[in-house]
Amino acid sequence: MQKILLTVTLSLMLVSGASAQKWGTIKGRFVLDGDAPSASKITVTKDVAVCGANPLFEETLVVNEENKGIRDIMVYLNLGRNDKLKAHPDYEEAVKKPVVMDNVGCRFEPHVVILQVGQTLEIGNKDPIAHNAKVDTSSNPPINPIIQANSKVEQVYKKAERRPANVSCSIHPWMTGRVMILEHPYSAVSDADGNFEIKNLPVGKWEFQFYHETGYVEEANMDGKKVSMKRGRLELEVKEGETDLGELLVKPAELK
Amino acid sequence: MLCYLQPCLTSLGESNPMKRLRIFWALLSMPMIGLVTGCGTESPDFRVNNVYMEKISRELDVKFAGQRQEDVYTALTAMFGTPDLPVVTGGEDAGVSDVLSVENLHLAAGPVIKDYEAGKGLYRQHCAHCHGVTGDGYGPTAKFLNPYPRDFRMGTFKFKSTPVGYRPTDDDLTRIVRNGINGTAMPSFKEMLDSGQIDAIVDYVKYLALRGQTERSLISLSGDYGYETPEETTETQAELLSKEVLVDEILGAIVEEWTSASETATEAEGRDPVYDFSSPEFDQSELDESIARGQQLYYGAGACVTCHGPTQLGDGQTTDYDNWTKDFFGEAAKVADAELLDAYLTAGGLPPRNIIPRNLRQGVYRGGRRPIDIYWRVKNGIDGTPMPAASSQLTDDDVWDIVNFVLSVPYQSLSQPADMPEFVRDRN
Repeated sequence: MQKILLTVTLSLMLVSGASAQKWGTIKGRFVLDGDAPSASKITVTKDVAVCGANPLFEETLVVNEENKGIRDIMVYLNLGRNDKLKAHPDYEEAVKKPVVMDNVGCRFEPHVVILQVGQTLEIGNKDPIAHNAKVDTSSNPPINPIIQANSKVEQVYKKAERRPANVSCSIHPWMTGRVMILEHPYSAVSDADGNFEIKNLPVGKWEFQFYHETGYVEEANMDGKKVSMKRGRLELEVKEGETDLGELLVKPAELK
Repeated sequence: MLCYLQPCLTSLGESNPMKRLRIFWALLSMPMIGLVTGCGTESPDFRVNNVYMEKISRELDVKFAGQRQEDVYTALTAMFGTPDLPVVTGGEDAGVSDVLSVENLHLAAGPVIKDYEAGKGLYRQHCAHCHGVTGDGYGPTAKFLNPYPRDFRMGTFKFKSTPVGYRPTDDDLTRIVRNGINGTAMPSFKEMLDSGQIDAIVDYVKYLALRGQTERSLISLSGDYGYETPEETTETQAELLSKEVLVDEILGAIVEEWTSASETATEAEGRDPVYDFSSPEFDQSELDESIARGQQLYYGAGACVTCHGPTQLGDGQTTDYDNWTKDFFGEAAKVADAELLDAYLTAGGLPPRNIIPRNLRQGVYRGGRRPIDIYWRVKNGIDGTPMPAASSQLTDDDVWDIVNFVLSVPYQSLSQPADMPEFVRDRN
């Protein structure tokens, strides 16, 4: 299916000439369709003076209490095995900049990051104590370096990951995060209000992947209609300009 | 005839043309056709990785029973053969000859038939009772050992010269088989087996790791495919079970990790002779200074104290788990979740145990007691465990200082209090 679509896209490109490639932006907002769960507090058992200074909460599912926006849902283009894609020229610079994940107050900030193959993951430590960052990738060799106070480590990934990898700190066992590595720049992580936006996609129909730390998001309510997304995948049409999907209502049961 | 091919041959009657094609490819690519084996006794099979399937089915909300599981294991058998007849199909394309010799596999594989047929069935004679026929660390004795025998199927090994995330070198694996692992049930084989036999066992361990890694990759990948309608199944099989995916993509990537292992080994400059008792240049005051610097680093920039504890008893962090457990329970290691634990044990996992940081006062070092062994542990971290690699801000000299400190700890007065009465053995 994807292949046919790509062929169509490619032939369209040939007809119209590659320079006339049209681009579109897709955006939306994930909203919990139910009561926001109360955040459960973490009991700090290690380096209490630093880690216990501010209350820490479990971050597996973070829902905005005011607008019920769901944080940390990954949305990314899911390319078929033989699909090739030429990204918008704006992204050429973006790949040169590192993606930062910091250890701050004994948590990972941000909790979830997505980077591209060849891009640098910079894991910083802004705390006055040592942390380690155990990044358990499967297609790339995993790492587990100590990061001293006020320093950073850098890692460049050579391959795309099949699914997001766990990040953790062995010194402070409550610290977890996720890293995803893709071979293209088309991805977003929903912010504290549940908003996500992927800019400058090639116009056409594309398959998108929706992933939350609890698993693939397989069902959402869009425009009052129930949309089923098998294995977290949904085909969407990217139109020239902006395509706003509006609110994507997700039931709490999807995020367990 | 070939008993182990029976399920394949039976399925050739399959009406689904895609499946027939797939089995045909599988049969064609089995180089051991023509070999005849006795069918009198039942041969052991490789154990299915139920724990990993349970994990993926929970993560992705898919079921492995039925066609999905059958496809994974048909492909796996076609690629790796059986415990009696190991093969690595597609290995030539994937460059497997750089990792192991198939002749060695045949020395190590198979049953132990006769005592006088020395040098055959080595793995089942010496290794399988702990590590299991599958290399899953689930041999008959596994439950009674602490630590549990290594499960090779993640391709992860703890005591080696390469950094976390990289495969061990041949020398690393050979060292473990030759010397055993101090403080564990793993014995030394250097008096029992000659170097050719140890090579054969090392190759067979790598074969089991390649097979186990491929199994995991296939299970994980298959979870992203659909099997809900016949059309979907056909489409899935055409892609998932193609040579491109099985050999070029999955096996190729795994083999590459192993072939590049020796390039990633951490070379350490020889230890400064002033730290070496056997050297004529040995200088006790230099060593004492190095130990003192190492002690500072232990409590400071090395962050060793966080896990190995303020008195080096290994009591700084005792509630964590290793990667073989976290693989199922996640980084947060939710072992306390009764439902999850039950599912894990039902799928055939060994009861989870905490990983305890080494008590450095005992002077028992699992990965070897040479300074270079401790250097590798500190510099690279220990793969598959919470032990991290030393901060990149520590210099090699810093790491050697930590090594010197660690090696001095069992001889400190705290480890051997002066007022303790000398142990005298009563002899009659």
